[in-house]
Amino acid sequence: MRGAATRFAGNPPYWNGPQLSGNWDVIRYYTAEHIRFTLIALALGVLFAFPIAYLSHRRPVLYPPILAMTNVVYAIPSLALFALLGPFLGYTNDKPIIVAMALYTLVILVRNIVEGLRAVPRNVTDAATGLGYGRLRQFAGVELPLAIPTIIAGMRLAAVSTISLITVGGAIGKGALGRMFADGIDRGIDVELTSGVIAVVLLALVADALLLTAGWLLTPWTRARTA
Amino acid sequence: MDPGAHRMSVLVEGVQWLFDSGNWWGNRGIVARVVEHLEYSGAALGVAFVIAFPIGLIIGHTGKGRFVASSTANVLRAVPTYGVVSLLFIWRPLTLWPLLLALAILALPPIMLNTAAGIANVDPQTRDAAEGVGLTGFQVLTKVEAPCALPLILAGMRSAANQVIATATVLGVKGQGGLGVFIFSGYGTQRYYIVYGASIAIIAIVLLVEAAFAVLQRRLVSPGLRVARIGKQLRSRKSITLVGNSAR
Repeated sequence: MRGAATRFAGNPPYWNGPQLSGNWDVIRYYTAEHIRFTLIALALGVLFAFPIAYLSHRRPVLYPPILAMTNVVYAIPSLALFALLGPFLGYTNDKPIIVAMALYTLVILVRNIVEGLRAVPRNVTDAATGLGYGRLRQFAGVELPLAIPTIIAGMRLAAVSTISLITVGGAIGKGALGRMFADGIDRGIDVELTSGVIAVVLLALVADALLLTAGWLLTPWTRARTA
Repeated sequence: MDPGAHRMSVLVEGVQWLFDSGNWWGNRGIVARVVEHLEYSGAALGVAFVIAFPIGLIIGHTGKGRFVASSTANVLRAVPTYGVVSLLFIWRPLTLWPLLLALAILALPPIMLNTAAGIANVDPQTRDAAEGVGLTGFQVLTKVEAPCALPLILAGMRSAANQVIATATVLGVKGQGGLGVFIFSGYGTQRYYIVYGASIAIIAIVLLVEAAFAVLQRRLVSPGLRVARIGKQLRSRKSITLVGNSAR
C-alpha cells in the first residue's frame, strides 16, 4: 500500500510526534479540505436533486423507478462506490469521493423533497390554483416553501453523513480528515486519529446546527402558529 | 487499449472472480467472509436493537425526551465509523467486540427515532379508545401502539440493516474480517477487479436483506393497517423528518 510519503505527496502539513501540540496546522489544513469537499458535494447533490424531485412530483409514474434506483445507490458501500467510479474518474484523486458523496446527497434529498411536496395539503394547492397561480409559480411559491422542513431534514442528514463518510476516502489515500485516520493507524499515532475523529464530529454538528438555523429562519410561519 | 473496453474488462473480471469457485472456500475464501460479514452485521444490529428499541418505545409513549433523542442521534450519525474502527485497532488490535459497538452506533438512530415516531404517530383516537376499554398504559403500548407502529419500526430496522451491512466493509481495514478484507486488500494491491467482485457481493446482500424486510413487513403488519394507515404515516410530516438514515 501507499506509504506515508506518497500519501502526503504535494505539500500538506505532516503530523510530527505522538502529541497534539505543534500539529494544529495539520488539523486546520484537513478541516479546510473537508469543508471544501462537503460544500462541493452538497452543492452538486442539491443541483441535481431539485429537477429530479420536481419531475418525480409532476410525473408520479416516474417516482417508483427513481426510488428503486436511489435505493440501489444507497446500498453501495462508499468504498465500493469510489471503486465503481474509479475507471471514470481515476482511483486515487478527490473526484470519486466528491461524486460519491454528491450521489448519496442526491438520493437522500430526492426522497425528502418528493415526500415534502406530497405532504402539502390538497386544499392549499387548490387555493393557489384558485388564485390563478401557474404551475411553476405554485411550485416555487407555495409547495416548495411548505416542504422546507422536510427538505431541511434531508439536508441535515445529507450534510452529516457526507462529512462522516468523506473520511472513508482516507482508505484510498484521500478523504481530507480521513487521511488523519489512515496516517494515524499506519504510524500508530492515536492522538492524530482521535483529533481527526473529534474534528469530524464537531464539523458535522456545526453543519447540522447551521442547517437547523437556516430552516428556522426560512419558516417563520411555523413559529407564529405555535407561539 | 480503448479506455471503455478497459472499464468493462475490470468489471467482467470482478464478476468472474466472484463466481470462480476456486475463490469460494477456505477460511479466507469468499464464503467464509460472507458468513463473517453477516455475523458482524447481525450482532451489531442485535446490540443496537436491544438498546434503541426500548428507548424509542418510551420516548414515543411518553412524548418526553424527543429533543434529547434526536440531538443524540445526530451526534451518533456524525461519528465516522472508519475512524472509530481504526482507533479501536490501535488500542485493541486483536479483539472484535469493540468493532461491533462501532457498527452498532450506526444502527441506533434509525431504530430509536423510527420506533419513537411510529408510536407517537398512532392516531390519538385509537389510543383513547384503547384507554376507554380499560387497557393500562403498558397494555396500550404493547397491544395497540407497538402493532400500529410496526411499519415504521420495520422501516427503521431496514435502514439500520442497510447501513450496517454496507459499513461493515470498514472492518476489513486491517484484515479483521468480512467482505471488506477483499476491498481493502484489492485497493492496496491495485487489483480493482477484487474490489468490484466484493462490492457486488455486498450490494447483493444489502438488496437481499431489504427484500427480506419487505416480506417481513407483509407478513407481520396487520392487514387493517396496510393500506390506509401506512399511506397516512408516510405522508405525515413528523415521521418523514425522523425516518431516514445516514449511509455507511
